[in-house]
Amino acid sequence: MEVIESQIDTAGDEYRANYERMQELVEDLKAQLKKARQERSEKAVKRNQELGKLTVQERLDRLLDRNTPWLEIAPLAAKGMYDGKVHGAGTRAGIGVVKGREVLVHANDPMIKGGTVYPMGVKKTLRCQTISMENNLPMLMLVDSGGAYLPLQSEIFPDSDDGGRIFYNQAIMSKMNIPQITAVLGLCTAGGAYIPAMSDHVVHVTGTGAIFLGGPPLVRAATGEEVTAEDLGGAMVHCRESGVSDYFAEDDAHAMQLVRDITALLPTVEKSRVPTRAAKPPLYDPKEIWGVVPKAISTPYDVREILARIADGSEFLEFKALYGPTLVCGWTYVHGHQIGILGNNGVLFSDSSLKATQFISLCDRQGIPLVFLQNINGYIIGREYERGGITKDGHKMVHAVSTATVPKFTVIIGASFGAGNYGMCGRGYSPRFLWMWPNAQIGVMGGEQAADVLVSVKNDQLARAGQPPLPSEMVDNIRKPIIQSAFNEGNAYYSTANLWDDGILDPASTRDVLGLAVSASLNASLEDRNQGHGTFRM
Amino acid sequence: MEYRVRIDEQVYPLVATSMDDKGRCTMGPAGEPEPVVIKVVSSNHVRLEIQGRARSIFAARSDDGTWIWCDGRARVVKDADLEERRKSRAPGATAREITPPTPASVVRILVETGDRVAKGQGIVTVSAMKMEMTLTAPYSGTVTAINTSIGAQVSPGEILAEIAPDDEGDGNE
Amino acid sequence: MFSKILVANRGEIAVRIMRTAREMGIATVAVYSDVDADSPHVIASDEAVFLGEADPSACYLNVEKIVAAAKHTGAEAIHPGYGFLAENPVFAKAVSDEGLVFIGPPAEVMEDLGNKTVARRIMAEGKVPIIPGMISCEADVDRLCSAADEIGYPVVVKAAAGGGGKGMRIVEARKDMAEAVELARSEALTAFGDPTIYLEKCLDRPRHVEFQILADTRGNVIHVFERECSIQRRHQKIIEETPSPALDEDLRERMGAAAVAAARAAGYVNAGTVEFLLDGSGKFYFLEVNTRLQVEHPITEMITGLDLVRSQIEIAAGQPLRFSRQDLTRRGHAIECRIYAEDPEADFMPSPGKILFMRSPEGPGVRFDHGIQTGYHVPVNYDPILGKLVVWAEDRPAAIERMIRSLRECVILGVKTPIEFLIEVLSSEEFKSGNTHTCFIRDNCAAWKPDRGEDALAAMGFVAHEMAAPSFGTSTDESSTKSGPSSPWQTLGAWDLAR
Repeated sequence: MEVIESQIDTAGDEYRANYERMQELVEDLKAQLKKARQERSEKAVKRNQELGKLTVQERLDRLLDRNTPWLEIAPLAAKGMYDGKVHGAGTRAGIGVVKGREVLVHANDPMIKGGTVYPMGVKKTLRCQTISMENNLPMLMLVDSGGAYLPLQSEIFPDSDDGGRIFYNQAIMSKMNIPQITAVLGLCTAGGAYIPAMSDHVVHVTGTGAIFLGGPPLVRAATGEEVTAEDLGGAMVHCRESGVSDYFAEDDAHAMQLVRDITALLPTVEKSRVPTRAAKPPLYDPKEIWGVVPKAISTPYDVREILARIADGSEFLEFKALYGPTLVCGWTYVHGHQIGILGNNGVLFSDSSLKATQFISLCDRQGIPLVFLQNINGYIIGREYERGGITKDGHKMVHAVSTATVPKFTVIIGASFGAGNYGMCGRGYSPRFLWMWPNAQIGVMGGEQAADVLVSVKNDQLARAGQPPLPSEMVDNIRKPIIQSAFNEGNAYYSTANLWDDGILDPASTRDVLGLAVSASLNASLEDRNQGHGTFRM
Repeated sequence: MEYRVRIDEQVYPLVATSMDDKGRCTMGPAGEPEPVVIKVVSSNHVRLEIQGRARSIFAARSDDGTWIWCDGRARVVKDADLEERRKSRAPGATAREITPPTPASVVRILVETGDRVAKGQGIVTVSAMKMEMTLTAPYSGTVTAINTSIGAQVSPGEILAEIAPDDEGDGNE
Repeated sequence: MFSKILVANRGEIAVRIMRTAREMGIATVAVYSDVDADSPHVIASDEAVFLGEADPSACYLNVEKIVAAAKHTGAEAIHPGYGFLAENPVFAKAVSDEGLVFIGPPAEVMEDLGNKTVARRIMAEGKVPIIPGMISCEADVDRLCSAADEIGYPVVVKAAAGGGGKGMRIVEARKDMAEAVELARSEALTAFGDPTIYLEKCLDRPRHVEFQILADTRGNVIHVFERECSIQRRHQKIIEETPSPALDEDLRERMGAAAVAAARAAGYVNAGTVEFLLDGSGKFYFLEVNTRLQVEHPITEMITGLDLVRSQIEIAAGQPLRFSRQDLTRRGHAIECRIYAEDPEADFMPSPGKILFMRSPEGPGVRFDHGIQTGYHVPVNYDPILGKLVVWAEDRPAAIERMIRSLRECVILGVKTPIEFLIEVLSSEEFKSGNTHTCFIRDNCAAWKPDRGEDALAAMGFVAHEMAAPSFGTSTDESSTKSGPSSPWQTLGAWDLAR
């Protein structure tokens, strides 16, 4: 394989300016992550201590193998929503290692609104279940939740991807033979009671854990019966009488020990084999990505500079280097695992779309995971290109991406506009994981373009009415709010708050994240994937 | 990350931060962590530099803990947080009362009112489905009442004998 | 010269003998029991013969099987090493009866010297000073008591067939005689199949000083200087050195002459060791002759440059000694530490188990004769010696420093060893001053406990190792971690997006 030779001048002013700007973004990201993990009300902290419970972090520390990676999923979900304090949508979730086994952990945080479930919390849980199913990862649930946040019940309860879907998925996961282990560390009320009930193994902490369909207040309201939570659905009740729970735990720490022991006994999974070789670091420090990415999202740069800081040994075998040069395709290794990688070097033309189609089909046939580095303003437009059949060629690429069944991974490293998002495996195309860099933007089109389109539509209307076009100060008045709202609703934080992605990455960690994700995805079989595709329009 | 590290009877609480790419981190007793540098030589050998003084540490894991070697001293070191817990004895994991598990008849009464009994000592033997089973004392104490007689038909929940525990501590075990 | 020899032993000594054989162009045959199938001595050999089950009587003590193995493989001679059959005249005779060569002294000499009372008589006749005491065996407690009165308490009850501290009891006063006799007799019966005992005077804090002897079939007998082996636990040597800090040239000359006289008196052939006790006034007494290669022979090799195993083989092949006493010089100082799988905190009880990891000490003047490797199981069936760490340096202080350095480099994990204890003994002022005697450990290190001062460092080392090489909370056999491709889940350590 050839080694990518970087053209970046790391001593230059531009590099330095880029670096400092990205550093600022990353520092802000880390501060946001820290805040989401740590900002809890004094009252909640005190209450948790009084109950003798561990914090979510302490639970995770005891559950996960020490000194192993923790790939957190959607840590900034619901950021800025509700009252701005429902950090991570009220849960911590991620992929970690328990007794040497990669597992998905989903934990309610009782120190956020008593662990009540907000609409985004449901979305995050469903996303975790999807990850668990797609990647065949055992799901460990640490339940400690007061149930649905009632004022928002209409957004949580009725629709197809609302609360009920969680238990539907649990049944389907059980059918798929994906182990589910639940630790009852607090309340599991009403629908929440089904989370343990639908699991394979239920660990129940005495004194704090309780499972019931109707809690004491509801029982009192319905029948007048006075009963404590412990008496209604405590560990003694469920381990000894009802059989709802399987393992009696003395406290949180004991429960985590039991979950570890249960996990250790799960049948082992032989990971799918993709071509591998010994891992080696890139020749260029991944942190140099900070200085590579230009400040303005519209400034083009060579995606190979990113590859050089992601790929093992900065090695890359480029596919069709001279054909369709606005899309870079080729093979490399990340943490020892072979991948096929596609990165944008400009808008997509017919030739670059055809190249992508061929490359994706090749990787799919060869069972090689695909990585998409999105920095795309869309497919080329204009008379010449429409006549050349750009839509037809774009279709081929979208079709190939949709039907490829090898694990796909997407990182939005800059722009993600228009159909480019589709062709480059946006969220709608079921990548196993999708992440954004903090500088990334997403939308039907860029804010400037959207503003220009609207101004021109307005002028067309005026022209039809026989009136002169808008004066320039009016144009500005129309453009500004559109550009602003496109940014507000298209930046990485807005995306991640809405769970359009699985998290925002420090660009320097992209290589490790991809390595972890590719490796985790191999827990699922590649063998029985639905080979082939439909008919291409030629 | 907090650790509680056990060497024989002594537990050392330690706090360690994550290593950076040069192996630098802080480590030490809570409240007084020191900057250290960890260099991985092999899976059994790390070089630990504390305040400018480096030592080679050799390590090998076993079922009993990790053998750690430093300057000619070998110690078996355990992660106290991960040590196997005593088998949990939930209240209710063993019955608290002397009552038969199924409908049965009493074939023998092994103690009398006023007897001191030790935990695990047989109290009453019952027979059901042609199988005999001896109900044992769930805790040490003094028999305060025998509520049945030989040949009696008894059912679950019926308390056949009552025992006053020696003290609360034992009773809660 | 032989073209092939069988080594009727195991562990470090078998490996050591095979090394010399290889240098001499002689093929080697190992024998092994079922627990030793993958042992280093089997791996080091040219061919290996399976003897049987782990019980010593079925393998390394089984005369018939070993002789048959030698016949079968065409070995012309058998080297017995030390321990097992090394001092068994029945074995030596069985070997020569089959027309093979026993690399050691003739069976009759072995038989005479193996019985301590006989040996004492021979020495007394050869004008070699012996420890005051009985020269015949006795079982009657009353008669033993009157003999003890004559000798003067304290006395030692010793097994006539004894060795290695077995069947040995110190009696301080008449009232303790009966019990000591009974214990010694039963121990001697178990260990040697011979319950006979006798009495010797118990000397106060004597040094153990022994002389290496080489005697060829042509009547040449020389000594190859002394070894001091005073540091003992459970009546077994643990630290040996040469030269002895207690000997001047005059005393060395006199003791050496006595050793040669002893060997001549016994009609000795091949390598052997004459052991003496040396008291504070410079008086020395014959203790016994070891009719074999000693465990501690390497220190003699270190200061003279000889290869004693080569000499043994050459003598057994009928060749004359290649050097005279005058040709031999010695230089510098050598120390040996025996490293057993044993627990110095629990009276040096054996501590068998699996060697999880080992690293040999290296560097100038260091020799580590061992028979272990990472992953090796130390069997419960045999003497738990792992190896012998030997150093050489210009003088005694430098040798002590070098030994301490080497012990610190000698990493053995998985079984308890006395390494930490040895470092403390070597570091003590008492040892450095050369004030060594057979009660050294009892007097200076009774109820030894490890220094806990550095345990906090071990705790930090543990955490560092956990961080550097995560364990996944499973019991890990590092050698058997699954091969597959490396996964970042195993290599990245405590990775986190928020870090």
